[in-house]
Amino acid sequence: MAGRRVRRTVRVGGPVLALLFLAAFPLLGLKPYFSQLMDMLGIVLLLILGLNLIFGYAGQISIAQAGFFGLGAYTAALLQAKLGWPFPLAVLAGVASPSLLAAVLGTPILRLKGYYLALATIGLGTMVYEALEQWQDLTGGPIGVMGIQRPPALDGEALYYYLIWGLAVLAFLMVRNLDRCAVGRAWVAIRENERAAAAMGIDAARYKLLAFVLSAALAGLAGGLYAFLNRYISPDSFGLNYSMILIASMIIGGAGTLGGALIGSGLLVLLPELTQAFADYHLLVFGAILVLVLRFLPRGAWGSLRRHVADHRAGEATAASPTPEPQALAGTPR
Amino acid sequence: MFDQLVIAGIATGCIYALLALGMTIIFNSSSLVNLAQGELLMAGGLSYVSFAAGQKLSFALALILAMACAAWVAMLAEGLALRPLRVANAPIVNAIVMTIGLSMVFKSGGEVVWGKTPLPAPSPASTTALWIGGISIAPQNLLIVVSAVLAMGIFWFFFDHTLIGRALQAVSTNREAAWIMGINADRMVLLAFALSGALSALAGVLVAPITAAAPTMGTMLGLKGFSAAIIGGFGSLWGAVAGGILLGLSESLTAGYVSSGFSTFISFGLVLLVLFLKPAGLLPTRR
Amino acid sequence: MWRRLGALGPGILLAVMWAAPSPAAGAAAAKNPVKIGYVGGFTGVVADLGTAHIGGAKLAVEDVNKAGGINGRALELVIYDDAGDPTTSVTRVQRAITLDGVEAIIGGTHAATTMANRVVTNQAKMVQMSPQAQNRELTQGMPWLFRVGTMDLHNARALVALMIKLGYKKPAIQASTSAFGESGARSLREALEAKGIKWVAEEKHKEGSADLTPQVLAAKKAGADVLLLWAQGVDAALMAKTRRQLGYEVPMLGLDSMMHASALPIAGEAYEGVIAVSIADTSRPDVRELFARFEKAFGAAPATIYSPLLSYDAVQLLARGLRQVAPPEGKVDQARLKAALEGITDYQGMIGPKGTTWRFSATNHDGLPEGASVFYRVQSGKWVRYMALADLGQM
Repeated sequence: MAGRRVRRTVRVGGPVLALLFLAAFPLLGLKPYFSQLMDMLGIVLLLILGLNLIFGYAGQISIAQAGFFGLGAYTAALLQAKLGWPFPLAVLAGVASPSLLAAVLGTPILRLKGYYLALATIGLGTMVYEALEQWQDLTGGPIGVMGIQRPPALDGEALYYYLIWGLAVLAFLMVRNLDRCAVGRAWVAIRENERAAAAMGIDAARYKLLAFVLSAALAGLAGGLYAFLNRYISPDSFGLNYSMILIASMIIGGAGTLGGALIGSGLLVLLPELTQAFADYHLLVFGAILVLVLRFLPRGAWGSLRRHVADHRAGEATAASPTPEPQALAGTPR
Repeated sequence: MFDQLVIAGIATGCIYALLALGMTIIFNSSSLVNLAQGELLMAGGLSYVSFAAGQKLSFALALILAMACAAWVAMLAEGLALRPLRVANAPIVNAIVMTIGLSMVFKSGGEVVWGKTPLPAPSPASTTALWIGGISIAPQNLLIVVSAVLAMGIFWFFFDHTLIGRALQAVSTNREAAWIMGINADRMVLLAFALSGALSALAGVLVAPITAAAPTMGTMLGLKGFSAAIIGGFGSLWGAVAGGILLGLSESLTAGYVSSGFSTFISFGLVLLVLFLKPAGLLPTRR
Repeated sequence: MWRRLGALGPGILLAVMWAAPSPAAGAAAAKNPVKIGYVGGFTGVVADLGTAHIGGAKLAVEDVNKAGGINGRALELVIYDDAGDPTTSVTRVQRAITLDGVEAIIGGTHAATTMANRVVTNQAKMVQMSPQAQNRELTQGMPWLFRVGTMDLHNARALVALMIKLGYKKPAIQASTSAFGESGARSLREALEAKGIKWVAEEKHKEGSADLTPQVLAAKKAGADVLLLWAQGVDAALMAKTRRQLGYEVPMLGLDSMMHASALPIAGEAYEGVIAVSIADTSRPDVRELFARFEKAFGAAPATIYSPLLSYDAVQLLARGLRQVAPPEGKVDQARLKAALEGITDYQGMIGPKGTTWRFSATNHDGLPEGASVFYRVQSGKWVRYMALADLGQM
């Protein structure tokens, strides 16, 4: 009826509008400040989409995302700045190196569960950070890598923006399609109950590894793009703290949902800008929001919104009230 | 040099052990890993400075008050933020992330209350070293080891020989059975958090005279405490202690003999190795 | 019901934060001001450094405006906090340039942030003054960046000169693992090599470590007769205590970061005799007066002696350039401002012993000459001015 038509319009119209806005953005008279924010938004979106794959969908706690981000950034940066590799190859290498690390270490790491897994990924992320900071002959140490150059074609802000968002949209679509097909369902099954999933014939280890490697790949891509965005990187940007902030953003937005990834990225990038007056309290507010969300809105902003709409629809159909069920971080699949 | 490094490693290891012990107590009673444990240490250390340096109270009094402060913060966290998750039967991931959020709140809260500059902390230990057999022992380190041993002794006695302690153990082993026996699980968990907070505050009071007290003092220490608990075998009180000492020793020795720059890298490498090869920890769990 | 209320919590928090007036707003807005953006870390890891910096800058702006401003226009400081994070710093500088229309940037508070944000001003072709970072790469390839401060190489050479004069021959380098520490260690190595001296050990430590026994023992084992430090105050204090505790009472020479206000109370007696090199000269009456003003205006003495002076000079230098090129209304021509700054060859500021003269040029953006160093020593529990580098020859 009318409700369904409205919903269909929103469902199709929403993304179309968003894409139109994204495409038209540079034509709105691009000022460097705004393009910087939008560029960072795209990069953070890649990071959180990746985190969503391993943490949100597959349900495996990974606190290593900033480490993969850093590894990708440094690989791309060093190859271009020190060895003169061309931009596309450098970025591809930046995607490859964390993916490789994830592929090699993923199997033993993902055998662990819960807090063991949390600590293992903390350890992995920290080791990457320490290596980047201490191995000075290779990475330049804490002073960082400077003099990263974009190819002349991409020196302008508009083209680089399109590159970042083109890749971000592609990643978004990829995650959406994975979510809808067998892989996504396998992940959710693993997240809800790994043993039952195995009993149903799902090779949990392989699917978990896939999610892990994909999350690392997306982080590596984000890293490469980031290195060429600011033309300078240092280890400070890739520490444990950032991994935790990424997780917090993902959860506040809504783990395991695409809308949540968007909201989370937006929060991370835009919150500091909108609340300049309270610079002293940023981390405090971030943490407070995380605590409040986990307490009252565990599905995150998007997840709760979706649930609310679904409940409303269910309420229309039957008069029965939904039974209280454990509030998982990620909403019901789809 | 070896003996000297060992002494330094044992002292640092005791700090890690106290933190690991605190995390284990919380875990045993509520199956929750508290990633904000370091911030409880920070709360203890900073409030100790306020009491001892600001209000000029005696060491003992300042220590007790600091432990009370941290215990109170821990109980608040449990009652307001963590218990509702437990009641709602939320997946354990939620609770772990909740402690991450709490650690952010505590850390910045600490900055708001005490400012960002590191604050010097007084200590009853003198600054002249004791010389025993050619090895120099800093009185502060001696204080750390003695206090840690005392604290562990008290806890062992408490857990094994008092009614409340055994009730706490019962809750950790089998919640339903304990409830049937009339033990109020919720109250026990609250108690566990309070004890954990007090222990971490003790660690903070002991380490503050060495490193100065600052809102960021707990982060790395908390992580090391977590690593220590895992190395020793999560869930085991003796494992927490052993893991702490082991971690402290390995850090000190690798910094001295291998490389001071890569010591954190090596420490976490060891943690990963333990997790890969023997995730249950190096000591058998006492369950 | 509580559930609903709680669920609204995050939204309410965000709304309040967004709508709240900035604490800085409400100050009387001057007409037609010349705005400069100050990007620093006032929260996070370098918070106390940043706070010391901005205090000096604010006092300088006061003085500039008292002396007539910029050709009658008021000089206005727009302050941005980057929390000591490079990524945030980049965005802040972007915001300052794009949204708030500043004419120049002063910042960041340390090497990590400055190395990142200088790329932005360089791309935007806007003048930037860097009031702290000491690493030599800072101004390389950055024609719009001017360094207000010293290069760590100069400080390192001064330390080595003192070390030689005092008769030590076997130094051990002790540096922190941060950008500041690494760059300092590199400069120390160069300065020693230039004098043909081989260091017997080089140790690193993480800032905020709970135990520095391995590092001190390594130096002892190598037979070092002096420790050369490039470390934060708290770590230097711990190192001082550790070496004393180990019965290894070697002298410690280091950078003025060791003079951070929190260090001496922590180290206590162990700091006795420790020597630091600085570009601040506290024997100068005008410097002392500035510190008194600082304490009166902001309620506490600055955490370091050099930070307020560096920012003060940064503002004054910038003001000097602005006075030459600022029109009565409207934007400043950046190319002309750059040229004006490069033409400064006789600025005497708060940094260095009296008479230290800054000299910029088109090819030299590190205007502080080498040799503006002063040594300080802890005597009877207080930092006391020991001597200026220039007087070393007369020792």
